[in-house]
Amino acid sequence: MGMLEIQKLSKIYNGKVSTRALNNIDLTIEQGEFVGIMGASGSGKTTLLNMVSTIDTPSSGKILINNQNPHQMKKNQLAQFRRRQLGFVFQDFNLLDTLTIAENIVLPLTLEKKSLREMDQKLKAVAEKLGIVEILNKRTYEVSGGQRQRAAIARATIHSPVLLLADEPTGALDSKSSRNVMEMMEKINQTDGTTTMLVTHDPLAASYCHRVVFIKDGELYNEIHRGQNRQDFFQEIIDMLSFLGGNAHELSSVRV
Amino acid sequence: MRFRQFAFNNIRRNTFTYIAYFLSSSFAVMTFFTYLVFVFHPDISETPIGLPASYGMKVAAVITFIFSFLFVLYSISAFLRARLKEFGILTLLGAPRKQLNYLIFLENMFIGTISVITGMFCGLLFSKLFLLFGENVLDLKLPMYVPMNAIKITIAAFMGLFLILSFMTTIFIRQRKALEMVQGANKPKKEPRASIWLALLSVVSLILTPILVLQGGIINLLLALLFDMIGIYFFFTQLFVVIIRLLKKNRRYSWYGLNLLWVTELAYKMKDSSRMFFMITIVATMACTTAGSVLAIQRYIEYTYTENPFAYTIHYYDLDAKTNKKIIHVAEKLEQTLKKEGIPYQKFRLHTVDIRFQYVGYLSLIRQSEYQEIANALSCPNISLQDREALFIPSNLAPINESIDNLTHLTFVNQKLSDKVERLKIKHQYPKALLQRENLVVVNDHTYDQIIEALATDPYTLNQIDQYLLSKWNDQVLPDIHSPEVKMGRDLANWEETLYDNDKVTVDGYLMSRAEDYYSFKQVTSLAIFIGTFIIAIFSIFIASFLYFKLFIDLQHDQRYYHELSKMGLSYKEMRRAATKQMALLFYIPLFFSGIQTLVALSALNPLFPVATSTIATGLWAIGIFTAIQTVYFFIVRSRYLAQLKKVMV
Repeated sequence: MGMLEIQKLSKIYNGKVSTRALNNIDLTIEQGEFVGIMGASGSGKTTLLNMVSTIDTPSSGKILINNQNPHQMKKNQLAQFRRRQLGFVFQDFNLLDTLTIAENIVLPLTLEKKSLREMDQKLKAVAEKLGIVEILNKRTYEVSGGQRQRAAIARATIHSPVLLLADEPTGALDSKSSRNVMEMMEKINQTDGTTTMLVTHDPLAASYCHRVVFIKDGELYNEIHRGQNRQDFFQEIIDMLSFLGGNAHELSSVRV
Repeated sequence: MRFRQFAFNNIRRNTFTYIAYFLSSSFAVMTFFTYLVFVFHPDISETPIGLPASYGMKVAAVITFIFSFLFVLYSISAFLRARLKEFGILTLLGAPRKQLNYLIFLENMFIGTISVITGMFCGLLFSKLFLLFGENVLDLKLPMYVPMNAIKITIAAFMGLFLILSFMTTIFIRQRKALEMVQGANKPKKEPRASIWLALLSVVSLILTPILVLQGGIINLLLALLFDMIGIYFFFTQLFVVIIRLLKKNRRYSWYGLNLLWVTELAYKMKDSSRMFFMITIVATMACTTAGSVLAIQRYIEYTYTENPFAYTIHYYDLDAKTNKKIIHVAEKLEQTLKKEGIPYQKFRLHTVDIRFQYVGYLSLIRQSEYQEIANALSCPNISLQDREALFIPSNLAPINESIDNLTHLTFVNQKLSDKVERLKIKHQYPKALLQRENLVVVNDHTYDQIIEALATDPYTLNQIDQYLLSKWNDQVLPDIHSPEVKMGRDLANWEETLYDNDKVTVDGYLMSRAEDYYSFKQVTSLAIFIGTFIIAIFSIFIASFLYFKLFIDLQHDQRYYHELSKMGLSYKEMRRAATKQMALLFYIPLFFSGIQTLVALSALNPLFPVATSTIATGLWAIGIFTAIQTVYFFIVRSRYLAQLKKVMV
């Protein structure tokens, strides 16, 4: 039994024209695994992430996180589940700019009414791990994007979630910061054994994963596993992407 | 599409954005118009309500207009801020500033014209209701009429207002850069700054204010007002931020539960519109103080009726014996009337002399034998008085004078009296309104004669007074226009008035009816209360709307804020609790200050009223009512606001 168990998941958006965003997805992520989800824009990868992060509800199928089905929970219970079991990292950081970096990081713990000593202890540990000790008392708009994303990772992991969900964490960063952020995520995954699911466009970010799953038009298309060398894995991902893109290109002649 | 068409279409197709601005403008027009319909009502302007009341009504009209102005100004700026992005896009597309200004100008004038029309239309409907209410309160007939004056003034005032505002808003927009406009209000806000010195100044001023008020004296009171303003102003702009900062320093509190969420946000919200909160506080204070003092005056007038045991009092004039006019005896007329109505009465005659004493000023001296009769009838204490002993009867309708309470002796100012009688020893004090507001001193007949004798060479006036006790009417119930006492009192007052107009006759005394006095005063205070209630209602609606706008300007930001938190696992319940706490503080902090200010201001007024009328009590009433109204608004605004936030909770 994996940490995240996705069974026959479908999502249909009803509107004037119904769109099938996800079709019959089966995916298992094991405890401690670092999995990337890739796909072109509109392929359904964000929809998948939203289901897993319990923000959106599936039309059919089942999601089990740590053997619990969050979609059967009541609203308040669900909120509690999210803040205890899940950690989120977003493309635009989503740090609250009325709070300092430190306050942003401890926010999940204050909501749980943890003791000050415990919060200080955990804050110190996570800040040291992510190398953001010296910016703890700064405001979000006073630090660089990379630092902000590291702060967001700190916030997402300070309560030791069972599942860390990242949505394009490098999307708004330059390549050096991207590398840095991904190294941090890798480090967290290795040292804490936090199961991580990463949704990204960025082959460089994806190359830090153990396994990358490709989605195309709402369906699982392929998956590739990382070998010993990250550089080779990066190349494999690029190849896979160009293959995917090539496919799209072939179809374009039909369209015209 | 011509530019003007673009402007109109812009409004037509964006109804939703414009609706709040339009409604608030119409509301301002409506209240102003309704008030004018009342003020210019032919039956109101003909009623003799006295100069202060009509002056008050004019002041109230001006205040209403000033607040309409501020109110509309605030809603315009809220409205424009919400549309900054749109202006930014237009600028990026290459619309010159001039055209942009013209667009805003056209829009404003268009909305302004429409809201003047709708406002007046609703005002016409509403004013009928308002006049009906007025009829009830004022015992007047107020039929609906064609309010030409009100229409003219409203149109002139508000079209002028919208014209000025239209020019002002173009200035408001001009200072912004295109990029800033496109980003709209989405930029992260800088942490609110505050100076610790100004915060300290605020604390010192707030402490000084009540001390100065307690000291009394006009200069101290003015200083207190100044310090109070300084204190409150810097409270909202500086001290509040400092308090929040200190609160945040105390991590045991701020890093606990939801506190981190609402405490920090509060500093931003308060600092952002600190001037508005300052103004709200002042306005609420004005409203509560006015209401409190009008209520106190009303209580006082009620006391003059219930505390006075005598239904009629006649003060006799010192008539010139050689007059050739026919002398009319007031007492005869009164007694005839009473007999005709079959109302039994007791009549008491008093002879008083006004004598000045040290420390207490003029007191009315009466002889014991005359007092004794009244005392028997009203079961007042029977005191046997030796020579140079006095029974002191301070009127409980006179203003409080603390120096009276501890008085043991009364010392004459007049040297002759001091030589002859030395001074009077106060044997007993008994507060009672035996001669309306006059403080009485009872001495035994021998001492009384001695004093008269000693005064004989000085000009003094021996006042002769008849008091009529009608036990049938002493049931302590306040009379209304239908009660026989008021009817008879008014008839007699009318009769008296016709005599004054007649050159051939002269009256031998002045007849006072306590019910008639009470009733005519009551009509003026009712009018004041009526207008006061109206103004308080307007103020409180304005305050609530200011807060409403404030919350809805920030709504986009708050929605994003709570949306992000909700993703992280903030439940709806927790959001509701945090948002409610925040809103409650925004609503009630100004109210708290104005409550304290009102009490301080009214306690300064308290010495002007007799003991029985506590301005503090009436002030508490006013604050209570105001708080109740604000609480209703609070719950309405809260539910609207929470409904908007609930949408973004995932």
